[in-house]
Amino acid sequence: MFRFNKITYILSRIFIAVIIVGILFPLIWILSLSFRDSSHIFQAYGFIIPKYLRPQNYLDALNFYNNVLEVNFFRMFLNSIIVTGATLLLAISSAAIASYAFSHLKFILKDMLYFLLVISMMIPAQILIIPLFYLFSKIKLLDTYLAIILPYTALGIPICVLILTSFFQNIPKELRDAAVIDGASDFTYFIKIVMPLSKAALATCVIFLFLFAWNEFLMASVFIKNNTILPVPVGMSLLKGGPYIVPWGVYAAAINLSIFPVLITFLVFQKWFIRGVTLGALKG
Amino acid sequence: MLNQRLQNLKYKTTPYLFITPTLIFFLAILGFPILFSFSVTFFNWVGNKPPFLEFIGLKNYYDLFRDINFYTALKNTFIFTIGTVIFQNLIAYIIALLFYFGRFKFENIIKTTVFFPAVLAPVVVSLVWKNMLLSDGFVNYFLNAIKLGIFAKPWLMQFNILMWILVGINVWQYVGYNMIIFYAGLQSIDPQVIEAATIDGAGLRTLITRVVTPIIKPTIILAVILTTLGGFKVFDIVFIFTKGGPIHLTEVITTYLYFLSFDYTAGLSKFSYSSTMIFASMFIVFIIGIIRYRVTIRKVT
Repeated sequence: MFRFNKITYILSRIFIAVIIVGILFPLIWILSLSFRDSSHIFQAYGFIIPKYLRPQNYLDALNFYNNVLEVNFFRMFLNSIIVTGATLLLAISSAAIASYAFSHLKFILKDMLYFLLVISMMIPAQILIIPLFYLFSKIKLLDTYLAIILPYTALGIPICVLILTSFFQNIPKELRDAAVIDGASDFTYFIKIVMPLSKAALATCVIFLFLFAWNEFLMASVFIKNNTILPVPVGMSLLKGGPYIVPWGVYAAAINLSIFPVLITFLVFQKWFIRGVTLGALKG
Repeated sequence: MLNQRLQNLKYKTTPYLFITPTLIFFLAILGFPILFSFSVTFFNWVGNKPPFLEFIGLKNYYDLFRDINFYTALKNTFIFTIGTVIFQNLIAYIIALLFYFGRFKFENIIKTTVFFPAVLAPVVVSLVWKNMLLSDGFVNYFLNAIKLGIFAKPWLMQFNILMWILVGINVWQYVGYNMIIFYAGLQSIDPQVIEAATIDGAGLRTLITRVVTPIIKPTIILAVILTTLGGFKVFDIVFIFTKGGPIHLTEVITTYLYFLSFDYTAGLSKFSYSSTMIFASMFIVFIIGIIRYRVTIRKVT
């Protein structure tokens, strides 16, 4: 196997070290800032670890959201969980069963439909905003969870179909024929055999949809103006701008409050995140 | 006999039932809106009045091509996209190559760390960096500390280079993501190929340029396509930093769309005009895509 010579070896270590510091530093800085009094921002008061810790910032951040922006921080999380959860459920169930049809069954226009689905991944979301805004305002869906769940699902389905179809294609067709001869319907076969075999591919879909639905901002900010159902990214965007001055410590605390749950989720499922992106890359 | 027929019918209708949910979502939330959106580009539709009242032909397109803000938005979107595509992929590829050839300790921990910003919301990342780039923020403090104070600037006011700053932030966030994609591509290479090339006396540079890169070309193309699509969609980061201002200097397509249609302080609600802009810009991107594709094909043959 190939080995680096000495200089390349050392340079590569330095390069990676710089990358790590560069990636981590802003996050550490925000963490450090969130414990500072706004008059004690810089190094005279401790470079990374502040001299006077001020955990009060976190309570202030929650209060700022509650009182000034009239958004309950925890409610915001609940909203994001509802939206992401519903998107996951709807998109994966629709995509999985359609992928089964695409990979195992014959029907007319199959190839054309599949092609349309795949190229629809290239559609930029902004094209949907105006027509959906109009449509949703007509059928009174604006300012409801559905106003963002539906577009998230529709935009999430194509990539899931792509991932799942290419995975299902590797399941031998003979298995299905055997099941059908034994009198199982396609649905039973799909639920009992195909789904349990495809956990890895399903996990990939979950990761992609989670990253998309949890972080999406444009549609959420246009379709939802009601403070009680704001998802996290829209709520966070209220921090800047507006007529109020937020102390930097409180600002950083609010950012961290939004990061912590994601960080914990990421640490728990990190293998799945990395594997999901890897699998997505290889299938795509 | 009848039972048999029913059974047959059941198996024949199953596929259609199975694709129904996907089809409904596809038609109702992707297909219909796109057609709708395209048809309104030929009408004058502003604010609360229903669409399709006043047919104005190509006037929206005519206005658009005289709209200086549209060109700014297009230019900025292109700067952002090209910058992201080049730097994000280049740096990610270098890191992936180092991991592939370099055998690092704690490789998984490092990869996870570099990947982590990709799971955060772009809004949150923008807020973090907006704080770092304040004139009394950390970046300037750091520049002063390492005696490079002359480079300290009120970064958020540097509107002529702001797009490049945003490119940097986007690269910071997603470099780990592309690194994982490239690393996956590299790992699918048969190790014997590398070994054979090493035995034949190939150095690192030859290995990278002549052996590894051609093999994982499909992965690289995939990553370039993904970053290009992502760049064209950019909204969050520009919106948080400048909202496209001042006087539309830092506008990108999406923020200009937001300004024209949904900004309640501007109150324009020019729905058909914004639709026209999206279609026109998509068309331009499509044309450029085709030209680039042609050029690459010619180079290959």
